[in-house]
Amino acid sequence: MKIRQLYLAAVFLLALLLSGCTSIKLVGDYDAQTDKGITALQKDMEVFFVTLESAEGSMAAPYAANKDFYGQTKVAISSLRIRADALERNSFTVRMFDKLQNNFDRLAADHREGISKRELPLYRGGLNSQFTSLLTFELAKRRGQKFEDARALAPATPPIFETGLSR
Amino acid sequence: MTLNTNDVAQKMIEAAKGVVGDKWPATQSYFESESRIFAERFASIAALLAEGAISQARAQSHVQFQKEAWETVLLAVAGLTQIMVEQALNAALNAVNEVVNKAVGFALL
Repeated sequence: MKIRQLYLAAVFLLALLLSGCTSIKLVGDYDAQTDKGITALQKDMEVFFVTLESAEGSMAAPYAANKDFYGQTKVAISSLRIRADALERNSFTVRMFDKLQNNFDRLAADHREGISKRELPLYRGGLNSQFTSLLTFELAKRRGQKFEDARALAPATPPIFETGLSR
Repeated sequence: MTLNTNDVAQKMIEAAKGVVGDKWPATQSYFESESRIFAERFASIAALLAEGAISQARAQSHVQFQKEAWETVLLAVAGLTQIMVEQALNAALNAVNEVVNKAVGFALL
């Protein structure tokens, strides 16, 4: 155990000497514009789901009447991704945006075929988990602040038992 | 003056431990709460399929959707862990910079 501890200490010191600096940074800095962009996109998504739910009957509002949302979302995510990619040590955030876009593409494909209202909580919940992840990580990049604060700012993931899906 | 490597290592480890002890419970709690929510969603997909409310193909699409979302959560957990490691390393270095600088005779750290 002692040898392992000494080895770790030596690695730390060596890394420091090689880097020539006294502060190590593994993850990029917080970006306020990314934070605002994610929050705005999440709000747009909530408005979209309210629209889908407002249709008469058991099916969500049809794709044709709502397809503009998917185009606008693609542009917004693309802009956020480009910005994230331009910032140093930000590959986690870039990959998270890619995954968010993948799920909007899946939602659009399913929507073209028709979505029942009972399925909506699954889509909304999954996307909200992704938005929460993005915001939690972005706010954690501020350092020094507890990232639980980020959770408080993020949208709550609706518990599935409140959606009627499990009934 | 020579460096007491045992002492330096102990100081670094204690400082790093403090950061990990402070940050890891919150990361773990976030990971666990999201895990439970995803488990509930997978159960809901199975229930909808069993009721005949959705097709097999749609159920597969839902599973892929949730997997993608789950991977996003895992990326956040990995990122939070990296920030924690970064802060632990910096705390370890800050804990020993005085003794190291004194030993070498200039502001190395």
